[in-house]
Amino acid sequence: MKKTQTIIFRLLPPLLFITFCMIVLIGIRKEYLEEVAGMTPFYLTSTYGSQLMSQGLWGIATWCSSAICATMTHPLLGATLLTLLLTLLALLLQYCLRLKWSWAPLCYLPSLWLLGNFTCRGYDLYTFKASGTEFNWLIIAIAITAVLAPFTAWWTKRTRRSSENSKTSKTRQSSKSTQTSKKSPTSKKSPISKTSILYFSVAFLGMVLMGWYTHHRTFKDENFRNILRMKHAVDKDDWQQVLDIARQQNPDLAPTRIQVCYTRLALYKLGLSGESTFSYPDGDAEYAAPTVNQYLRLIAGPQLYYFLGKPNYAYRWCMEDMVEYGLRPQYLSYMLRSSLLNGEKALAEKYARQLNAHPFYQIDLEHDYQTECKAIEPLLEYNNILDGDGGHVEAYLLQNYATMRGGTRQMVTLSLDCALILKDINDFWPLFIKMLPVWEHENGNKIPRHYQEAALLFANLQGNIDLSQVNIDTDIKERFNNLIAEANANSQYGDEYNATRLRPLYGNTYWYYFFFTTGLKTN
Amino acid sequence: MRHYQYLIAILILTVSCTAELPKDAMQTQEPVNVFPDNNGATLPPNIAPMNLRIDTEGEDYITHIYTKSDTDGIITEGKETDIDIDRWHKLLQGAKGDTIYTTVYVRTNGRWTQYPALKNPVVEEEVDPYISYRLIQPSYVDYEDIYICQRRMSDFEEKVIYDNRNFSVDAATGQCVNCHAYQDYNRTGRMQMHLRQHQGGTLIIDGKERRKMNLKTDSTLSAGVYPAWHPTLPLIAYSVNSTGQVFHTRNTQKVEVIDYGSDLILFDMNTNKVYDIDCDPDEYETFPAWAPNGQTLYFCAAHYEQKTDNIDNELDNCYDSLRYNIYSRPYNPQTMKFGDKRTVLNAVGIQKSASLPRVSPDGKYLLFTLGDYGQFHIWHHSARLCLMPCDSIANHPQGNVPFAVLDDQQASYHSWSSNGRWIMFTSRRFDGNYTRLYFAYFDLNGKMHKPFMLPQKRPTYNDELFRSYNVPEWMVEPVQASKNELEQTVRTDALPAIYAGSALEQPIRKERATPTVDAVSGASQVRGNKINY
Repeated sequence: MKKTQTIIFRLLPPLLFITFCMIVLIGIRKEYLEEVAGMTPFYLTSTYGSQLMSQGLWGIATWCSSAICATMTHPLLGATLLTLLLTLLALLLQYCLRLKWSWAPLCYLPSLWLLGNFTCRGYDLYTFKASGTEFNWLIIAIAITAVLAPFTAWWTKRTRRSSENSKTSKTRQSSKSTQTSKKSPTSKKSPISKTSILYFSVAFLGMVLMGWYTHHRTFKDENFRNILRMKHAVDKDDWQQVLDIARQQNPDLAPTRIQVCYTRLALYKLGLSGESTFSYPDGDAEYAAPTVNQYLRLIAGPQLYYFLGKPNYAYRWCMEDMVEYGLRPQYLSYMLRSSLLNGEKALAEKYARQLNAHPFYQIDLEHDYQTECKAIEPLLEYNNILDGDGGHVEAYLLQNYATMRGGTRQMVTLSLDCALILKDINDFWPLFIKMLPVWEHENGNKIPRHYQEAALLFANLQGNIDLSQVNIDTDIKERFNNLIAEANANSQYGDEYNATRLRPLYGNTYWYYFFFTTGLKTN
Repeated sequence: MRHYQYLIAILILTVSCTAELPKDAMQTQEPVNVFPDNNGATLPPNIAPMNLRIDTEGEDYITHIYTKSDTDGIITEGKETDIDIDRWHKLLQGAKGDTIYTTVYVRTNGRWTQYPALKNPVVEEEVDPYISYRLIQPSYVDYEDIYICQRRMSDFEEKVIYDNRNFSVDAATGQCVNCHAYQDYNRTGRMQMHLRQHQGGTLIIDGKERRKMNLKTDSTLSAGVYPAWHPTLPLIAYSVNSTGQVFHTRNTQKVEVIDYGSDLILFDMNTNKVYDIDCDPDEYETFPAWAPNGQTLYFCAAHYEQKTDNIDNELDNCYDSLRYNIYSRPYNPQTMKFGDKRTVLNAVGIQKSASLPRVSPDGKYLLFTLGDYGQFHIWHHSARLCLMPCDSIANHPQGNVPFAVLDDQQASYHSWSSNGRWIMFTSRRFDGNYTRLYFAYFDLNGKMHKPFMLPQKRPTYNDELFRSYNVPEWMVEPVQASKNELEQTVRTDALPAIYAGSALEQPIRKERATPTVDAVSGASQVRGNKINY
């Protein structure tokens, strides 16, 4: 019974710790783990290795720490490895300090602190200049305790032996009767004494409190999590998943511009932009970041540029950020894709060679990205000019496409979408007219809903546009007329009143977007 | 510790000595695939071992490097060679005027195949013992991660002269470091380099004396940019440029570096005085270069007359028609005055644009790059190394001098070795984006031989390096100032230069429309945000 109790008390802290770690890492921060892997350079090349080794012990720690981060490409693997290492640290610490089981929970405090340091991070991942050093202190702590462990074992043995020797010599001098009646203090001690349980309870409480604090520190911003989920779905060309995430957005929480951009990109890729763009959540929520930065560019810039046919700008921002933040696999990945799209094979091969030196990347240039590139190629039919975006990715893309003339069908569609988003009536009409025969030919004369809504609205606003030859659905016409009637009836009320009142009926229309979605700022 | 090193050395030597050439190898006429491809390149007798990586697929590899007189030569095993430096130099010395052969054996499916030998002629003339270069990621506006390094040519020793990361904490406190240049191959111990933005200024090193100068004056366009040391006098000719970077939306050259204004100045380091050389606002002068006798200054210039009040917009729209000729001005060291400008090469006349004139140390040849437009040919696919004889310049006052195209691949930023027999240049020919260093022998008949890539201890280094080699310069003597001394000088305040009028015998000065450069930073950056978002 005593033995069973001892085992339970001994196993409780590590089991609880492991469970807690896995809940925090996989349950709360799974997407973040995957993102950390993508943002951490780790390559099995002599050049990368020697660069780190030139930094001495810190470089070796960084190499090991980067390796841990690299395993997070598969979050479960990374989380398991990290959990095991954190547990190992606690056990080594317990061993080094020769603590009894009753105090063992205290040994988990440093591990919980280190875990918290990792899980408390969010947007600063993108501006962190020492990628790969996240677990340096964990590695160093393990190394120190591992080195100290045999020494402390030897020291304990030595001191115990010398104390036993002195006791033996003392006992030789004392009387035999006293000698026989005395037993060693250790043999007398019960493993489950009340004092031990009290100590254990205090230490365990300390561990639980630290666990609570770690959980409290953990960055749990829902928008950030959704951004990462969308980003990873975009990476995998899984556009439906992006829309699913957008739909799951908490209605009380405004999305960030990154989420809006990802959603619109997915809608465009799935050919749904003309039907559904304005029925998805829109917003410009602040990023829950400690400092103001161009997070849209830092997180989503290369992806948006690449998938929207601007490989030079995708490449450029990867290169700029690589200078600031290191040779991160995600940058290399989009530099590779952009080079492929640009037909720069030798350059793409260079990036592929480097990425293939990462243990969790396997790139076959002959097969990978071919479908993806084929889908983007129709967006590349534009002339070269000298330009610049100033890092304002969304604004640049909207402006660039809305004012673009001609190009492939895919480009004109994108231009039309951008003109709608910018509420640009003048750019809308030539694009709309250019697309009419396409819809007639390809879509059975069915014009996507938002374009019909925009045409009705702009014709109404301008007054001199004849839409009699344009195939506008009757129900859309009716809805529009109803909207006009309601707007006229409630014109004495302010915009805020009308926005709230009309939202249930018209919240998914371009009209609502045009009148009531205002003042959004790209960030 | 030393015993331990000896033991390892003996072990390595024993292992390397045990490598034997396969006796039953099947011969093939197929060329072996190696990186870097230096087959046929002429080598100097003091170059570091030409390590290579064998890219032909196989299970095992043996490389045999030998000469006719030393057929035993060097035998190495493995996919990547790691040639012993002493043994290599012994082989090289014996191969002067002859050829070094490299035969590669590859084992596939248990059978050895012997590939045709790679041949490298070795000449008598040495390369200069040192070079220096800037290692920089080929980015556009971010530049924290920069080193200036010095490399010994006879082995692989690379020493960091200046590490910019010691100063750059973030964008606000960071700076760019560029344009390191030496007088007379650093024989005089005089060196200069620029820092831009935070800690901005020009470091002037004169032996033990070091100072930081602010070469921007109220009367000049910017601080000094592209430098040219006078071969003997304490003078540096500079271009002063209002430079911007604009981005190609589709072209794979990706970025265009445009001068929206540029002039030439002369800096006298004894008096800290700055003189105008050429400051015509309709002429865009840049890239000065002295003749070895110090009596002629060569430079490039484009003619453009500003039409609106927005020169940035104008040039962004016609960047591909802005072309540069090569000009020169005679210089009188006694009066310290420049004479009349004359046309050296009328590149515009053939719809081309010339850049970076560099005269050979014997004064016989002018080396330059020729591209389709512009002056920053390092990004231009069309840039080619070209050569013209200096003695025919006088016979062609219109600048229609016949010239030769030396190489059929992209190249830029070239320089002559001190003996005039070697040309060093950078090129993006390897992967299209990261410049690597190339060295070509220039023979007495004025012919450039096939270049070789800078050898590395690990041959894959050139492939795995994600930085470009930039502004390579030859040096006869190493840099004397230590990294610490340079860094101390960087931290000092910049001394202001004094404007002292024109250095022309017959000064001409027209008013410039809108000079827009901040004081210490030098060349102004025009960021690519053309739209008010």
